[in-house]
Amino acid sequence: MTSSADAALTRLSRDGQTETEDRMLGAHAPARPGAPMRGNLGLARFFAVPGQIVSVLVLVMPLLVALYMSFTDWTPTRGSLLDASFVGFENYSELLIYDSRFLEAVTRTVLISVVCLAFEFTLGLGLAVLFLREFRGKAILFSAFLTPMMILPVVVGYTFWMLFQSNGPINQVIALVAGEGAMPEWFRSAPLAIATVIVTEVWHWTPLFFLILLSGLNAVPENPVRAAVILGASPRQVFWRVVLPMLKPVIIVAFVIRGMEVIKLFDEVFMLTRGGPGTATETISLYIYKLAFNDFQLAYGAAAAFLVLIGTLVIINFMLLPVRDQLLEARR
Amino acid sequence: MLVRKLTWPLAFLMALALVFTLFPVFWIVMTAIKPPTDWNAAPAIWIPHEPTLVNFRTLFDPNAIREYGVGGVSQAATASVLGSIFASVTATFFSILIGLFAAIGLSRYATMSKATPLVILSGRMFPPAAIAVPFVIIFSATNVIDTYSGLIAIYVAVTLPFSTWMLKSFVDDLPREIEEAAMIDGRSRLMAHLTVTIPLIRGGLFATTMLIFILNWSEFMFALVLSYTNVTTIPVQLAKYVTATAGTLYGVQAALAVLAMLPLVIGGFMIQSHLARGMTFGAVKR
Amino acid sequence: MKNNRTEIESLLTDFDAGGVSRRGFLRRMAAFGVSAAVANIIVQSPFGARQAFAAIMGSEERAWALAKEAAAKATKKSLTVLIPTGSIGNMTPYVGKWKNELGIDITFIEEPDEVVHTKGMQEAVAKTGAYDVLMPTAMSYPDWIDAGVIYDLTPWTEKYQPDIFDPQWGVVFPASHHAQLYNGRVAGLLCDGDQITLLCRDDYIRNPDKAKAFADKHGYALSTPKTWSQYRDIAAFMHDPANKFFGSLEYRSRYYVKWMFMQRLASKGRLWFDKDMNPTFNSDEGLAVLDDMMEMNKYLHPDAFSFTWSSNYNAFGRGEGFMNICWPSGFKYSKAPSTGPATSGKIAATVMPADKLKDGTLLYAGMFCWGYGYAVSKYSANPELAYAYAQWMTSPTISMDAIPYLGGYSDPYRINHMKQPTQRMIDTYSPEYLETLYNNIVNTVPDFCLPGGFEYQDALDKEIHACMTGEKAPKKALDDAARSFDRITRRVGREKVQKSWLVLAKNLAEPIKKASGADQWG
Repeated sequence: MTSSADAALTRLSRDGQTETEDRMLGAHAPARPGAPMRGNLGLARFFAVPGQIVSVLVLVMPLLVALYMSFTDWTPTRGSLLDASFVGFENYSELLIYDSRFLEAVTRTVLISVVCLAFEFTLGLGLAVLFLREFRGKAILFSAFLTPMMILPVVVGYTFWMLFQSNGPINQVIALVAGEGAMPEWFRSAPLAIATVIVTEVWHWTPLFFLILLSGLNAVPENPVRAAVILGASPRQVFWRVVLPMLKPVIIVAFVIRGMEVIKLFDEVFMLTRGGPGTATETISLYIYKLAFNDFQLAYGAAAAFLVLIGTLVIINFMLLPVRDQLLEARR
Repeated sequence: MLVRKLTWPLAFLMALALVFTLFPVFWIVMTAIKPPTDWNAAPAIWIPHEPTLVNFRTLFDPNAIREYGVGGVSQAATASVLGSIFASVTATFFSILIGLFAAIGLSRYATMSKATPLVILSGRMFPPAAIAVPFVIIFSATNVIDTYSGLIAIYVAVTLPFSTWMLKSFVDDLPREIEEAAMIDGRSRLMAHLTVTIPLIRGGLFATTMLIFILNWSEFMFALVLSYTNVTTIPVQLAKYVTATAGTLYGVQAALAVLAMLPLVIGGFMIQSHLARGMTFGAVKR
Repeated sequence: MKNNRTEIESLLTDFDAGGVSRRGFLRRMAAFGVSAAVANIIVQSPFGARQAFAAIMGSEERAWALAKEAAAKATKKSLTVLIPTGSIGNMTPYVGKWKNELGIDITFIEEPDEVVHTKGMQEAVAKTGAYDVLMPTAMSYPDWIDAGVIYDLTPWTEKYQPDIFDPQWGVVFPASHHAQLYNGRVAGLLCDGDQITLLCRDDYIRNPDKAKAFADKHGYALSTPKTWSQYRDIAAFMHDPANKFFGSLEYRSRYYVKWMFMQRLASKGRLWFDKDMNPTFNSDEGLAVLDDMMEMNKYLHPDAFSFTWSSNYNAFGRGEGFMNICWPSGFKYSKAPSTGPATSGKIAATVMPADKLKDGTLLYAGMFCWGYGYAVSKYSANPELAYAYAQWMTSPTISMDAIPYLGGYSDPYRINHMKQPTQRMIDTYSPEYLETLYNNIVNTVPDFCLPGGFEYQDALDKEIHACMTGEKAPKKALDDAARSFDRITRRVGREKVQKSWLVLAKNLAEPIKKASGADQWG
């Protein structure tokens, strides 16, 4: 392809991107033209107030309590929260300097998250691309592929716990292929236990990537694609150079939504490995749960949670940077 | 996009993916109909020779399993099923009601700042294990501990971002002229919203309701922390069938799992065209 | 026994009046369900049969009187009992009596054992009063008392005398102190004798071919192992994986594996801390224990790494191993034909093997792990009734009646359970095994019954597990555990933990006290 065609492709993707964003992110919505209905403050309040009350009472208040807790040395064995003494940032420094288990859990959770998201994205995208093709029974297969994300996380964890038993079906298949001796003890070694967590998580949430990416692919406008084909681009080039760049905002949204949830990974691991062997699969949520509800280091656990919250906020905002303005604009 | 056929190698890939997707579901359903002798047999039994409903009966009559000489359960799952239904349905109702108000407010009136969506998103980033402790404190002080009201309040609050943003995206789709036309007919703004806006988005309303129900029905940690003697839900009961020390009632647990996932799978299929929008806070439209 | 009360009373009166012969008295007492041993005590008592009988029945009767009084006063006519899953079988038989005679409804809330501690501790914050009686392990008491979740039972025990320290039918020392007291005050009433003992397959020991082959190879007679080195020899000798028969069924699974470590460490005369709260296991003894355990891994059942007590009992019952280190209920399971098809009638049990100390003497030590008991919630609407329930259920007579019920895992813990058993108790265990239990329990060392106990446990467990799975080298595992221990001690409060540790260490069996040096701690 000539360099001018190359430039043309890049331009196509750029133009297409705005168009996709408009279609994907709802900016085309008829609400956009015209100023918001103003001059009826009473009614506006009437609509907004219930939601705000609930959010303040049920989310902001606990957050403030947790924030206060995190600066005290409170554990129930020393009396009530009001009696607890204020220790400033002691919990925070303890966590960051001395608590290797916390730091390990953070690293581990980030690693598991990255690997899971990479797999979920790749598999989801692959499947979505397959679904662009024409074949019979598409509707029913679409439903079938979405099944995992409709199953309760607790059930997913329990199901995979059964599948990975040393005498479970997965090992049976392995024995069939590679012989009895090759059957691994999944929950006994750290790398294998982490693998079970990743497989479970990927199985559970690949459908969401599939769903979002397929929505995105279906919304890609046809004109830039046609133009690229006319310019002589191969299907592969069309996909990588035109379609994928146009999908960027959707991809980021998918990563943000999943990223937020996978960082909190708890239910599945709680049922699957309980963080074992040792602490090989202990995620941040499991560790905070242990601090709060096994050890009752409540203040300490709250501090850990705030560190996690700050970390997550930073990462998510960083991820959102490229699309932030568009997202916010689209909301209006 | 240019429409092309699915070639054989690709079809094979898809078949493989389908097996991977459905096998765990197959396994849990099979386990639910296995008699105790087959639960953890080595080698594992894929399809039981003598399928039984004893696991399902045990959920509601703990003594049913004893005909197989297995003990360990002594509380029926009935309370947890009823508790799940009550908490999920009530919380979904309030989440939708409040979310609908907020959605109309956000879509039609400039009531909140531009950054509100991100503020609300950040609420979902906080690890539930840490926020659960303040809930226990506050609920204890306000005397709603060990009541469904407490659990429902949390569920409403944590699903509110979803219901608000998903519903808002449906309201956004609606041309504002329609409401204005109704107002020209002499209806008040409020009446215009009630009689025009809401009926017109009922499809979206239904989809959002299902989604919120799914979220509430699946929730585990808050229920685990807040259940004492009165409050219990299916996920909590599920976790009770396996303990660190006493081992597992595989089949009974699987039976409850199957019961628990049925409404979600059915509900999920009914709203699958709206799922992408729901799971992305309305950011993805279709 | 309870239903024959009036007949027994009149028989006692007759006997004291000289109207009944000794033999006739013993026979008729047996017919009423009173064990021969109890009847013998009564016969020999210098105070007369009536009074002796009243003494042993006293705890139960005082509790019942209190229950009647408290039940009459109570506005809330129910008791809610939080119990760990699997223990209900020993408790349900008495629900009817409480309902019919006192009008009190007893409701059980079952939770997985680890959740029992959580729910109890949460009461410090939640204050629901949802539970009246709680059944935690002995490790929960320190934190629960400090958090104000449960009552210090001492004022009640002084008034109503549950006879927990009675030399004839009290709880066996030192469990009586380790598993019931916190800093010398009664925090809970023990209801489960959670010690571990060693079970062997008697049919293999009696096999002359095996016996000869073993004696030829090792130079001593095949029997139940007396020492840890014999234990390993025998496990290696019996290990036959080709026929799915393994040397031993020790635990290597998370949550359990620490006890296998602690037991061996105790056998070497080491406790968990020195008198200044420095961990003592990151030492030569600790490393030797880990080496021994790694060596034993070769002769273990392949499921050892995932065993829970039920899967362990089942595997042993199916005949998949020669030895098993397990709780007394494991003996019960392997004895009953339904749960021990391959082992019924073929079990020889022994106290835990001894280890050779530096001075060449053998030290027999046992491990008291878990130890369930009844505690009374501070937020209970009827604390006196709750206490009465606890004392009644754990009284020498009712507990003797309750333990043999199947469907629960309560095991003997009072002296009379082992020394003066009823026929039902004997049928459930065996005279030899009850004797073994007694000989083992007197040498038991306590679990982490300290403030922050669960944290210590978990920190040790995770490192031992990591070492057993090959994730960590022994030295590193022990050093890391020791570092975690120091952190926990610092965070919980050194003085507080040290105080309760010294109290625990005061009440040890003499040989262990001497071997560990705790006798010098003052």
